[in-house]
Amino acid sequence: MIKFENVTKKFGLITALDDISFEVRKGDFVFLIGPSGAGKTTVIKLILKEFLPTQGKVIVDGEETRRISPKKIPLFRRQIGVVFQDFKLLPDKTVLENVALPLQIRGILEKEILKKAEEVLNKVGLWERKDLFPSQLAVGEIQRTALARAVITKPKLLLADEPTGNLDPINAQQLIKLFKEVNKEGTTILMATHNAELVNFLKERVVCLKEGKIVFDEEKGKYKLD
Amino acid sequence: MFKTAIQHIKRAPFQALAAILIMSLIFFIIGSFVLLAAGSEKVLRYLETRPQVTAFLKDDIKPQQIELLKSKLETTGKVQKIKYVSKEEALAIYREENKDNPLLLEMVTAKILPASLEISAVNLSSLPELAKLLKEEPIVEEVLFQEDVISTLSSWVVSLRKAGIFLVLFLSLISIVTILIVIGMKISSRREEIVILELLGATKSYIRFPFIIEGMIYGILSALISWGLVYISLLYATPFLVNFLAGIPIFPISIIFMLEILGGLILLGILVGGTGSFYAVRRFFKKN
Repeated sequence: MIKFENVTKKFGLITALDDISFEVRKGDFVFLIGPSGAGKTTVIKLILKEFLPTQGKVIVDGEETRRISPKKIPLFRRQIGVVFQDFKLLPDKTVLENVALPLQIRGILEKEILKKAEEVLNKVGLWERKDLFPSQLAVGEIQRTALARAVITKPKLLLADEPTGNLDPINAQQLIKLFKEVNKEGTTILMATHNAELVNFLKERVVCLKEGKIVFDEEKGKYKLD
Repeated sequence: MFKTAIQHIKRAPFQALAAILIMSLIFFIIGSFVLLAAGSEKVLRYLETRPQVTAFLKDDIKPQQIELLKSKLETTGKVQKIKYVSKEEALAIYREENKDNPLLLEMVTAKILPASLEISAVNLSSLPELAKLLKEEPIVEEVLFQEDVISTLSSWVVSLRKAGIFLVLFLSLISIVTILIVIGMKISSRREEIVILELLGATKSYIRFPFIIEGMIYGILSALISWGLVYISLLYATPFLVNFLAGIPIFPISIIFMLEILGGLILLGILVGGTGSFYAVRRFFKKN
């Protein structure tokens, strides 16, 4: 699903990623761990083609991101659901409107959108709060809204950048359960996180980055930074 | 897209109001100018159809002599219309014009009024030539023609039309720049939202269209407001204008013509609003 081949990404003199290679297979659940500044967010942004690698290849679902023309970027991004580190919810849209946005962008009919939004909001337990604005929600609810928006299109790939940051352990557990459910339905998940407890609890594959390099890549790994 | 555009307007109503008010003022000036130009054109057309040369005939002229002169004039090919006004008809006209002054009516009879030929030229430039021809005729006593009034008015109408085109273009440019600034400000304030939409897979046109529609809505609303103001001003000024243009049948202005002006203003509004917002969005995407 995702393949990094000798990828290096430099921002001026700073090397964010240094010749890394790894692969995420279809249906995998992979944690990307590492200290702040290790390059986790850069990996996610490279997959989304927010920018291109300085060297190497990033291949997503068989397509090398460098070869995707600017016109095709929207279609490419529609295959990917993202839960952003800062949520990126639109503050003047309600929970329902935020969650419905990816479907509206695809030009789906209102009736169909409402049906799917109800389904996904029920799944994350936010249907009752559908008419509230992000500023009226608790942090855990905001994160669940972001997840609902990311999965409403049933994407092939779900990227999550620190989705449990700022969450108390109970809320974090609930959110991770939702991610697991999405993964069971066939969606590949790549999650960048600092949450050692969750990584250790789920015992999924762990890729650890440090100073732009892969330190280890273990199946059923644990959270360790050395 | 239309719903999103309405949402944009609701979110920043004062920016929208500022744009609409500025454009309404500009469209009001354009609308008033169009009315002025159309009115002047109508006055000119009216005056052109009036007799431009009047040849007063000597007394005791035979009808054959008059017919001979008429056919002589017609053969020049420069005459649009010739009307013979007999002494009796002249008296009737005199009576109609002075019906409020019985003292003037008492003293005048058909005998003392001359018969005349009222001539309209195909082209105003041939008036002096026709006047000269008539003056040389032995049966003509006196020739009157209004060359100066009509040619002056004609050159005024031409200048007015030229100035009008320039004014409409210049004011349209100001409207476009106004929309460009207002929509540009709105886009900048929603930079973050646009980035999110792009990350969620929105195409450029999905992001662009609500802004372009928003500009068009400003244009349409401004056109409606300015047209209403123009119409109210016209109705208010009608009694004065009727007096001022005494005898020239311009009023009442037909509702069809006013609707045509409304259609024109709406079209201009859509064009100006759409162009302004299109360039604002294009500028944003070029920069980012």
